[in-house]
Amino acid sequence: MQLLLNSIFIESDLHVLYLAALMRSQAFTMEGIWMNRDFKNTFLLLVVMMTIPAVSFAQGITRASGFGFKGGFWKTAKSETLFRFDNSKIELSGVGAWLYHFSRVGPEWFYELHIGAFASIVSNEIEDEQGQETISEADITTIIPFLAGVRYDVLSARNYGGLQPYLSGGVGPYWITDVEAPSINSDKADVIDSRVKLGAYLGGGVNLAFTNWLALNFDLKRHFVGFQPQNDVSGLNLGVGLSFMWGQERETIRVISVQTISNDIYPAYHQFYTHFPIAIVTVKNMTRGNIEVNVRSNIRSFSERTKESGFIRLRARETKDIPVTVIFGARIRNLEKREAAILDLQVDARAGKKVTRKISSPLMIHRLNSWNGEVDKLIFFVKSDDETILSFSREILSAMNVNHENSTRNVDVAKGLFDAVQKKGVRYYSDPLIPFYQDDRVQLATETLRLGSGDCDDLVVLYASLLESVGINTAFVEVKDPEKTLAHLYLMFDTGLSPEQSLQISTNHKRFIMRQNLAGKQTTWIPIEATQLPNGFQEAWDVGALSYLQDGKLRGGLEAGWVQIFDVE
Amino acid sequence: MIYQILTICLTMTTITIFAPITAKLTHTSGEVMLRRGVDEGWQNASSGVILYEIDSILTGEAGSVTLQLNSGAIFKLGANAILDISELRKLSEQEMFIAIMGKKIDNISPRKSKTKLKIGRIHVVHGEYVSGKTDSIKLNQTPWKRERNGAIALLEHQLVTNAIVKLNSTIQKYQEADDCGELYFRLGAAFENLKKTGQAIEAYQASTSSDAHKDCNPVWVRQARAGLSRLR
Repeated sequence: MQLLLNSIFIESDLHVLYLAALMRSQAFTMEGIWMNRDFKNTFLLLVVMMTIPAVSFAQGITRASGFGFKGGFWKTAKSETLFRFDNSKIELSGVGAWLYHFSRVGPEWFYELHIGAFASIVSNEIEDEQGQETISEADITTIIPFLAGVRYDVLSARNYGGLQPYLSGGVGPYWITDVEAPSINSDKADVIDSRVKLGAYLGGGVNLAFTNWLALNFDLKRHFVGFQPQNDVSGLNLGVGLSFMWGQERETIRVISVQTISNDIYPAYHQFYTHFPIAIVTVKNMTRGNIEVNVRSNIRSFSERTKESGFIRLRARETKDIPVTVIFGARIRNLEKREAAILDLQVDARAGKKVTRKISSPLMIHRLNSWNGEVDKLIFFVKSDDETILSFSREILSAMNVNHENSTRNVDVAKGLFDAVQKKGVRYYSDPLIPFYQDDRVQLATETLRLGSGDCDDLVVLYASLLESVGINTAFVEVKDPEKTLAHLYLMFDTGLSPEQSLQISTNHKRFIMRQNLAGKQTTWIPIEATQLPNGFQEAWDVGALSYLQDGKLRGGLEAGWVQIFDVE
Repeated sequence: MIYQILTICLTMTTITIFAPITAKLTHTSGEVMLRRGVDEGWQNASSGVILYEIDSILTGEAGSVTLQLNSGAIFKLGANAILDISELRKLSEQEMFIAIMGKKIDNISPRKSKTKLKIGRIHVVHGEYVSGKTDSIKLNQTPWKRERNGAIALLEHQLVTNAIVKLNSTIQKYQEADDCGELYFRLGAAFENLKKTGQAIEAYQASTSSDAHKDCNPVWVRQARAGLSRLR
C-alpha cells in the first residue's frame, strides 16, 4: 500500500519536476523567491485587498456540504526557500494537492476532512573532480496528511456570490516518506525512511463564492507535524482551489409566519386596505449582520399595482412583523358576486444580493354591497362626493334658500334634507332575512334614493351621505343592547353651535350631545333616528335623543361600551 | 338548588342595582315644574305625579318639592333648584370617578390622526342647561345656582358621590360663572366628606385661585383656605 501510494505521488511529482526543468531550460531563475521582498509585499497586499471587501460584503458559503480540491505549496522548516532553480540546483520545498470535504455543523461552523499529497524535492548536479561528468542526485520527501478539523466562517453568511473569510484548525496523522533518486529524471527511487507522525494545523483563508455551488478557495495553513513547529516537515501551506457545494442553502431570511387579518375583502371599503393591513408577515433575519426586507403584495387580477412595504431594517437575528397592505384596481368596484382571489406576497431581503421568498394566501372578495356588520366600516359606504347625492342635496339647498350666515344653518339644512327625503317617499323596511353565512347588504345612498326604501343602515348611510355632501359632520351611533338580539344604528350630526348657542335649538339639554371637535371646540350634536322618516325630523330627533339618553346614559351603554360612536370622515 | 338560589339572588341584586328610579311627588310648594324626557317644554307639577329616570324637576324662587322614591326614600328639594331624577340613583365611588374622568377626557382634544379607522369618543356630558322660552320660571337667571342648589340637596341627603358629579358637571358647564370660588369649595368639602384628601386639596386650591371680583363674598375662599390648612 505504501509503495503504491509512493509510486503514485512520485509519478505525479515528476510532472512538477518536468515543469521545473522547463523553467530552468528557459533560464528562469527564481532565487529565494519566497523571501523576495516584492513578492512578499505583493502577496500581503493581495490578502489585504481580499480581506477588505470580504469584511464589507461578506456573503459566505450558502450550502450545507461540499468538496473541493486545491493545489499549493508547502514551505517546510528544513527548506531554505520555497523553490529555487539555478544551473546546478533545483530546490522545491513542497508542491502538491489537497482533496477535502466539508459539512455544516452550526450556523458558522463546518467540520472538514482533508487528504493531501505533497512532495519536497532537492536536486543537485555536481560536476566530478575533473569537471568532465555531472553527478545528479535527488532527495524527495513526500507528505501525505489525513486531517480532520473545523472551520469557522468569520462573517455571517448573508447571501451567495461573495467573499467569506474563515479560520480553521484540526489534527491528524502525517505520513512522511523520504525517497532518494539518482536524478530527477530517474524512474528509480529508494525509500530511505517512512514514518507516521501525529500533528495539527491552524490556519485560515477566504472563499470566493461565484454561485451557490461553486467557490474559489484561498487557504493558508501552518502545520505542526509531531506538534513541533520546527519539525523538518512542519511549515506553511498555501493552497488555491475550487469548492463544489450542495445541500440545503443557508438562510438569509426566514418567513416565520403569514397571518391573514382579513380573509374577507369588502369592495365598499377597498381604500381601507391601502392603510390597514390585511396580513402580517413575520420575518426573521437569520444572519449576524443587518439586512433590509421589503414585502411586495399583490392580489391577482384585483390589484392595480404591487404595494410595497418599503425596505425595513432588520438587525442581526431580529424578527419583525411587517404589515401587508394592498392597492385595489377598478375591477373590485364592479364585482357583482363574491369571488375567490389569491394574495401573492414576495419578501425581498437586501444583503449584498437580493434573496426572495414567495408566499400565497387565499382570500375572498365579496360583492360591492356586502358589509360585515362592523359599524366602523359602514362609514366607507358614505359617499358624499357622489354626483347624484351632490346634485340632490344642492337642489334641496337651493330650494330652501338657506342663509349660510345663520348660526342654525346646519340644523336648518339637516331638517330640509330630511324633509326632502321624506317627501321623496323613501321608507324604512326591516332587513331581509339573510342566511348566517352571507353578509349584510348595504345600499349606497344613490341606490336607496332610487329604490325608495332601505333598512336602518341604508337610511343612515343615505342621510349621512346627504349631510356630509353639504359639509355637515356626522357620526354613527351603534347600540348593541345586551338585552336584545339585534344591534341598532342611528346617527348624529354636528350643528356647529357652541354650548351657549345650543339654546337656539332646544332648552332641554337631554336633546343634544356636546362633543369636542378636532379644533378642540365643543359643539352641539343632534341624534337622529333615521328610521323615523315618515314621522318627520322632530320625531326622528326625539327618538334619537331618547335612545341616546336611555341606552347611552341611564343604562350605562356608553360606559359599558355597547353604545359606541363612530365619526364619519 | 344552590345554583337556582344563587341565580335568583344575582338576578335580584342586578335588578336592585340597575332598577330604574321612579319618584312620586308627595308635596309641592310654590313654583314647581317638571319636564318629561326629551320634551322641549316644562309643565306644572302637582302632587301625586310619578316622575321617571329620564325626567327633570325644577323649583322656583319660593318653590320646594318632596319626592318619594320607589326605594321608599324621601328626598326634599328646596327653592331655585334643578335636578334630573336620574341623579337620585346613588353612585358608587367608582362610578363617580368614572363620571368625573369621563368629563376630563371629554375636554381633551381628539388626536389628529390620518387613520381612517376611528373609534368615536364616549360622551357623558349631555349639553348645556338653558332657559326655557315659555316657562313661568325665569330659568336664564344664574342657572349655575340652580344646579348648585340641586347638588346641595343631594349632599343633604347623603348622596355625596352624586353631589360631586353634579358639582363637577356644573363647574365644567359654567366655567364663566361668578361663583367666587363657591362651586370648587363645595366640591372640596364633598371630597373631604368622602375622605378623598387629594381631590379635596385640589378643589380647595382651585377655589382659592378662582377669579374673584371685588364684589365677591370672600367666605368661600376663606373656607377653602381653612380646608387646605386642615388637610395639610
